[in-house]
Amino acid sequence: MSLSTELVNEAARQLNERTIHELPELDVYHQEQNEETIHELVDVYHPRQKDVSVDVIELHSTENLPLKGKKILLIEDDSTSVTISQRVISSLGAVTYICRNTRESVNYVSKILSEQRDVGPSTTSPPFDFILIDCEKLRTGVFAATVCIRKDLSHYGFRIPIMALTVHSNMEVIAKIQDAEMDYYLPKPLKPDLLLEAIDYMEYRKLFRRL
Amino acid sequence: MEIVAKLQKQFMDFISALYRERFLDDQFLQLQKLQDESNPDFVFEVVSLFFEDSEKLINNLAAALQQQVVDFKQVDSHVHQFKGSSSSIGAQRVKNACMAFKTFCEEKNIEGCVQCLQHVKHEYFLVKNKLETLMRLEKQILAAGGRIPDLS
Repeated sequence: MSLSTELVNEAARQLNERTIHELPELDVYHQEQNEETIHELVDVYHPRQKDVSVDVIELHSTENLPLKGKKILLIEDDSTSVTISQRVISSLGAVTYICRNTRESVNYVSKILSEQRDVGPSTTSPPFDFILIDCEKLRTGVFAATVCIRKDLSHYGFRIPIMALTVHSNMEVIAKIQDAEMDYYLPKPLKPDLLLEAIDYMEYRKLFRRL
Repeated sequence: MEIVAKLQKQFMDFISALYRERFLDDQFLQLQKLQDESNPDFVFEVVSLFFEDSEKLINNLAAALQQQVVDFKQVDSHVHQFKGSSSSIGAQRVKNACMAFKTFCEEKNIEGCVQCLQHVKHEYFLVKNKLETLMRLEKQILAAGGRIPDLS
């Protein structure tokens, strides 16, 4: 996985931020970890698929916006960030699904996928085109949730790009993001042109099957 | 329409000055761009959230620094949040003050931290004042039937 050069440079530029935030979650993505622990963790995140509330923001615009028709899942708990990210996504024409909790997001994705299956696949279109997950509060199981969501999606045969949204420019965090198999890293606050650049990159990769 | 033009000029001059004096940076201009007829209160909403968050964080920081044994990790976490919040609205001077604050947290320098908190508070109240004035100007323009000028 390669990060956009510009973003890596931006991260390097911000490296006066020397604090290393502890990441006390399980190293789920570590290769030596045995399968059992991962299943344990998955259980913790899937106690049952109870009703999860998700906000859906959809604008009805006749304009020809770049992300028209796209569906983006935003997993973010900070109100200010939600307000800004949601507005950026909507301004580009996509429908925003907002989940304010990592655990809920795992349940929500799982629920959507099984609902799709129940209805029967008349189409194999994925539930979302992209997933944006805020990595700001690293103690809230963000990377573990990513792994769980990935597993769920691949179970149904979907490979949806998952992008990390974070102010962390610390290289260790970026490494964790790469380890958790995030597809892209976007700095906060979210900017429309950078989101488009990320999406372009992802579409390019899909096109040339470099996933 | 004289009034609208006058108010619009006031608005442009004021915001240019804020930008020049580094109270606000590009991020604020981005937020203005995201505001339109269908989202007329967007900037006001974000600014209000910023005020709420900041005041909470300032209180938390003051409390954390008053502890017998200061938990610098906790202090750092609050400062980090404050930095993130100020950068999401484009409050550049507050953000810079937070960056200096972080250094003192890492060094576990309590006096430095206390001083930084004062500095951050000072910058916050300055920008808060400016933003309130700006929001008032926006409201006046809209009330007079005008549009917020395009800042690009």
